[in-house]
Formats: sequence, C-alpha cells, structure tokens
Amino acid sequence: MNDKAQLYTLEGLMAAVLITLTVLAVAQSSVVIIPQTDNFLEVQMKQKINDALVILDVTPDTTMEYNLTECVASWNTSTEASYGKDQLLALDKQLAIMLPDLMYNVEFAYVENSSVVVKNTVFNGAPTENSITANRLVALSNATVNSYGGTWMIPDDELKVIEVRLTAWHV
Amino acid sequence: MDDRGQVAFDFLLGMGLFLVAFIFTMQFVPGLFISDSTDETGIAFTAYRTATVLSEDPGWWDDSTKKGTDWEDHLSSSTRIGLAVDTIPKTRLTDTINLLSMDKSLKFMQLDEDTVVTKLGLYDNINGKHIRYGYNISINQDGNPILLNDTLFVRGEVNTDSVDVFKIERLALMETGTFVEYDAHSIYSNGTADTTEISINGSQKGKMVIDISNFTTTSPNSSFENISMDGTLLNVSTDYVVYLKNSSNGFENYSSPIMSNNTLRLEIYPMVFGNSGLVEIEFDNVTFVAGPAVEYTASKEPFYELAQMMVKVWK
Amino acid sequence: MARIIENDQGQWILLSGLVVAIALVFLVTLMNNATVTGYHSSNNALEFPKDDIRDLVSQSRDATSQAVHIAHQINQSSNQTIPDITTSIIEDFSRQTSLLYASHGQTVAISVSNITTNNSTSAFGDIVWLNISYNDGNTFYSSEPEIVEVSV
Repeated sequence: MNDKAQLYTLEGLMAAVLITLTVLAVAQSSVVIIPQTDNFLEVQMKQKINDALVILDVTPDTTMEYNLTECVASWNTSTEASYGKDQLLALDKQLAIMLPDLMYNVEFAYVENSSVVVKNTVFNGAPTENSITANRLVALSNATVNSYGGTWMIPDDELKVIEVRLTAWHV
Repeated sequence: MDDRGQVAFDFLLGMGLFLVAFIFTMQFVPGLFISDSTDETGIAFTAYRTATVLSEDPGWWDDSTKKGTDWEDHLSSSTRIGLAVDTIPKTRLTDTINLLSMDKSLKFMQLDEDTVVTKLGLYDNINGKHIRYGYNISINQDGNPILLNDTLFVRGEVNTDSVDVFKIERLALMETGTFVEYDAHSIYSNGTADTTEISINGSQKGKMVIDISNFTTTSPNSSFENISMDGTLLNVSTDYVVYLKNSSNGFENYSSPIMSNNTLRLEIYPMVFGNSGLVEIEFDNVTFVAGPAVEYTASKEPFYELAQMMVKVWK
Repeated sequence: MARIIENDQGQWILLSGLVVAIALVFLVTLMNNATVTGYHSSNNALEFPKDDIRDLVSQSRDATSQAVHIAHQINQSSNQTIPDITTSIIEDFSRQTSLLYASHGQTVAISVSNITTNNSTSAFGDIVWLNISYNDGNTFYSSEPEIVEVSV
C-alpha cells in the first residue's frame, strides 16, 4: 500500500463541499416559491375589487350615500380626470373606504358612433404590471340621468350602456 | 501498476465523502419542490371555495319531497351552507351576491363542528379518512368581529403553529338589524310636544335604526336630548349612537343644532324587551303634531352594513 | 502526484460524470413539472369568468325591465306597439354590450325571442323571453330562454 500522501481525499472533500454549498445557495434564494403564490394573490385581489363594484351597485340607500348608478349618471361627460384632479369624488371616497390598501383607477367605457370610447374618471397613478381589472355594466335611461343631474345625452327611446372598469394594484 | 487489487485508502475516503454529499443533495432537492406546490394550492383553493360559497350562495336543502334555499329552517336535510340573502325565494336565482342574511349567519354560528367541516369541505381525503383542516371564519368591521344580535361572528381556532396559513378576504354587506325612515310630520307626540313616541311590537333581532328627517324646528338651536325605552333612560354610547346628516357628506357624529332639512339617525343596539316596547325620543326646540305612537314593525326594512369576511385555512 | 497524471484510464471519472448528468436532468424535469402544475391549478380560478357571466345576466334582466317601462311610456304617445319598442331597445342594448365586451375579448349576444304583454291588472305584467350567450374562448355560456317578468 502506498503511504505517500495522495490527492484523492482532498478531491473528494472539495467535490462534496462544492455540491453542498451550491444546493444551499440555490435553496436560500427562494426562487422556487414564486409562481404559485403570485397567482393566488391575483385571484384574491380580483375577487376583492369585483366585490367592491358589486357592493357599490346593489347597496341600498340606507347604507351608502351614492350607489354606482348614481355616480355614473351624475358624471359630467365633458371632463376627464388626470393626476390630482378627480372627477368623481364621491366614488373615490367610497372606494377608499372599501379598498384601504390598494391604489386604483376608474375608467368609463361606452359606445359612441359604433366605436368604444374610454374616459378616465378617477386617476390615482399609473398602474403597475401586476394590476387587475374588474368590470361592471350600468344601463342608464334619460329619466335616470335627469333625476341625478348628469349631462349624458340619451334619446328618450334608448338605453346607454356604460362599463365601469376598476383597475387596482398593490402599493 | 499496483496489481494487488486494492484501492488506496484515501481514495476510498475521498470517494465516500463525495458520495455522501451527492446522495444527500439528491434526496434534499426534490423535497424542496414537492412540499411547496401540491399542498399549498390545495389548501389555497379550499379557502377560496369556502369564502365563495359562504358569501355568494344562499345555501340549499333537499329532502325527497321539497327543496329550497332556506336551509336554516331545515337543517337536517341541508346540502349546502351559504349565507347570502335569497332576494326572491320563489325563483331559484341569486343575482344579488354579497348581501348576507342575519338569520343564516346566526344559524351558522350555532352549528356543531362536524356539520361545518363536512358541509363546507374543510377536510382532506387521505385513503378514505377525513383529515380536518384548521380554520377560522369571521366577519369583521374595523378589524374586530361584528356583533350580530348577541353573538360575535367568529368561528374556529387561532393558528399557533408556524404552518402556512391561507386567507381570503371578501367584502360583504351584513344584515345587522332593521331600519325605518320617518318624516317628522308623520310621527306624533303623545303628551309633550317635543317628544315623539314609537311603539315596537315584540323584540327585534339586531340593531334598530330610526331615521327622522324634515323636522319642525322652533328655534335655530334645536337639539336632540335623549331616548327612553319603556320609561327607563337609555345610555348614550352603550345603548345607542346618534348621527346627523346635515349636508351631502353623509352621516357624521351628532352635534347640535338640527336644521329642518337634516336627517337624524338613531342606532339602538340590540336589546331584549317583552311583548312590546315604547320608545320615547325627546328633543329640544322641536315640535311634533299630537297623535298616537306609530308602529315600528309596520314599515321596517333590513339594515345592511359594510363588513369584511375573512376565511383562514391551514393544514 | 506523478501517479495521478500517469493514470489515464479514467473509468471512474467517466462513470460518475454520467451519473451526475443524469441526476441533474431528472432534477430539472421535476422542477419544471412543479412550476407548471402550480401555474395551471391556480389559473383555474382566474380563468372561469363567473363574475362576468353573472354580471351579464343580471344587467340584461335589469335593462329589460327598464326597456319595458320606457316602452309603456312611449306607447302612450305614439302608435308603435309595446313589443316593437321593447325589442328595439333591447337590440340597441345588445349592440352596445357586444362592443364593450368585445373590447376585452369576449363575444356576447342578447336577443329577444318572445314578448307577451298583459293588459289586465294581474300580478305578472309583461314577460320577455331573452336569449343570452357568452363565449370567451375557454368557456361558453348560454341561457335560452332567460325569462324576465316585469311588473309595470
């Protein structure tokens, strides 16, 4: 048996240490967990903002001052919101009570001359990449608009359909 | 070349050390992936499904002859448990989701653990045996469970282990009591002109909210004084709360004076009284026409408040 | 040291290299599988458009009831029949709704298949039969007929 010092042990030791260090480094950097939990967060947020729109739509007068139809009907159609200038303060305040830890924008989409027009009505910033949008339709007739003091021009024999788009993202 | 057929001793040592590290890695790395993917998504979806069924489904019961959505009256043949109000019970449509009914919620709080776990599916089926998940279902307002009639709506344990907890939060309108809106010209005083009386036929479940508007004020500093129930003076802030709406800002905490176009809201917390009660509301510098006491239950509606439903599930 | 450099047979090294490579391939496949499973199973909840369908049906019912009320009002001062006016309002509603839903990738069609008006003062009022259909590429929903009872 050769009793001169050999390099084999050192090689084995180095290999073992190298492998173990690599595995530990990869496992600590938590790359593994992200895809699944990210999706679930999106599901939660989408459900919550949809809930907010539904509640605004079905709430009886006794619970909240303004419901969704009233907010949409009373919007001044010639104004559009930009940063710092909201056009629907009542809607903004109520959404802030219901969604306290999210930032959101609201847009109205409606049809004019066979094309879809989108207008900003509540603007709180530019949405980030992982923002989620929820939609709700509101149908207005001329009588409804007049009773809430809005400026929509609707012929007497038609209904105007407006889609309220709420885009929300985490701060 | 050494032809005795032996391997050098420290070659063995080095190779052995290397093999130990390698086999450990092979066994450790798959464990990282498995426990993070399958179990988590299973529980996450149980939480989502439970929150959805509770807040959007009015529930269902079915015995072989009849069926319907009022499972709270037919507990033994209930198939699904849900808390949403069924707005038109004769049709089987629920278009208005997120409106929660007080009767169903109170019944839900009274169910036993077995029924809740089985009917809501809060368990895992492993080889035919049911392994219960830990859960916590609550409806909160400002972070604390809401008070419904006389029970706090919270069910389940608090998680103490360091396992991953999955939670879902839904917004809902919870029915917390009844509501009537009066015009001050159509409620009457029975005796002193600045006191009005409302009679209540039977104990009411939940809060009682009374809105009065269109006052007849006799001076610019009219104010609200107090409420008595059957002769005993009620305590402000423990028995009732007063709000005033004096502009389009909505209801704010009460402060005098009351203008004739303001609306006063009295929220009387749930209380038990006998077959009927008489509420006397006293004002200062406000007059009411003389007449008999109006009946509360004749025009009452359900009163809803915004609340958050939180469902937490863990293994 | 000299012995190591001379030893050029290299069976062990090749063998262990092969084993390590195969093990790495296996691990990478496992990791990809886990990612894909997580993505698909959590995408299920996002994919099924339960809120869209529910919103479509409930808004169609609401708009139909508004349309019937408007039709009764217009009928008192013009000679169009109530079913005609109601059908034309609902067609216009369907046109706008399809355009709005198409702008985020879903096809929607609402049409009227029958209307009965009730002149006597019974509890029902008018009954409208609607056909509603919805398709977003993954899910197809149709409600034919959707019966809406409007009491005027």
